[in-house]
Amino acid sequence: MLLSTEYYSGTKYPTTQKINHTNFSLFGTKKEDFVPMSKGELLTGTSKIDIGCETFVIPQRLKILQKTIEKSTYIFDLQNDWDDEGSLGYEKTTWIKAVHFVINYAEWILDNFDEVMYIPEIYHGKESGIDILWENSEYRMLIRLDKQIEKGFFYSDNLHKQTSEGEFQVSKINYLMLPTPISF
Amino acid sequence: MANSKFPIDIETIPDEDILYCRVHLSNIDKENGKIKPSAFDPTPFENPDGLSVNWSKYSNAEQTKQEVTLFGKKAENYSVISFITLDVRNISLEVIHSPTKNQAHSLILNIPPRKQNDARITMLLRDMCKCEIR
Repeated sequence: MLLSTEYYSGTKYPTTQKINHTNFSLFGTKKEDFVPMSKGELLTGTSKIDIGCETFVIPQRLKILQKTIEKSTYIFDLQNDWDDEGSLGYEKTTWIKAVHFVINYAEWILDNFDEVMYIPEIYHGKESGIDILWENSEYRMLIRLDKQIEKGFFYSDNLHKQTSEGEFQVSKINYLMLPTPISF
Repeated sequence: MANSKFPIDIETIPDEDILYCRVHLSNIDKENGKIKPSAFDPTPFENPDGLSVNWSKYSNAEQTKQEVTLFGKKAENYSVISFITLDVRNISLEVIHSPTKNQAHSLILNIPPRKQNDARITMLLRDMCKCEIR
């Protein structure tokens, strides 16, 4: 397993300058993030991410989210006691709603800023909820969604120790009040 | 002061001492080696707002890893990270000695339940920890 000792250096964020983020950056777009599109996708302007249990239809420019979404499917394989500590497992419906949240947020950013959001990691979270993490050397944000994907909590900070945190109801979210994970 | 359940004195943990914490490999991203935020959530069978750690006065990283075998778990499924006690106290969390059969057992308390500053505490704990055993 690849474990970054640099990351565990004990040096406090945001001074962890020795991290080589080009190796595992969640931001920016690496060549391997690009997924080729079919002729049909090019004609319709949309792409499909088919996970088996769910097909997500997204604008072509957001196809870049495919790998992180596929990677996160490990979540619904986590059964009760997945950590040997008695933690509960995760439901597919929770994961599906969380991915829709990410896609909706990405579409809102695309529509309003004409930008593709930085690529987040989608992880299992607290009490069968979902964590969504954006992180690079200058900026990061963690959104924690509950099991029902009804409530969300966020914390964000940057190199200049500017922080932002709060909570929201997913069904009534105003994305303008969230830090926007794009490069300004 | 002795714990009523276990006749072991409860001591005050000095700020400069180290706290060792096991992290299940499910909580480490295999692609980039980063710790997932959920690693810092108290587990259901522990104190609801407490994260179990071992105090360096009575334990070390390797002992912390191997301790799981006493509970029938596989040590190879765990990594060990550490915190400096003062760092933890500096973000308004409490560190107390809470000996059980394991004299080193301690708790990081006041990790908030799911609420506004939950995400902040999680990220700050993630920042300050250091990997001891992969």
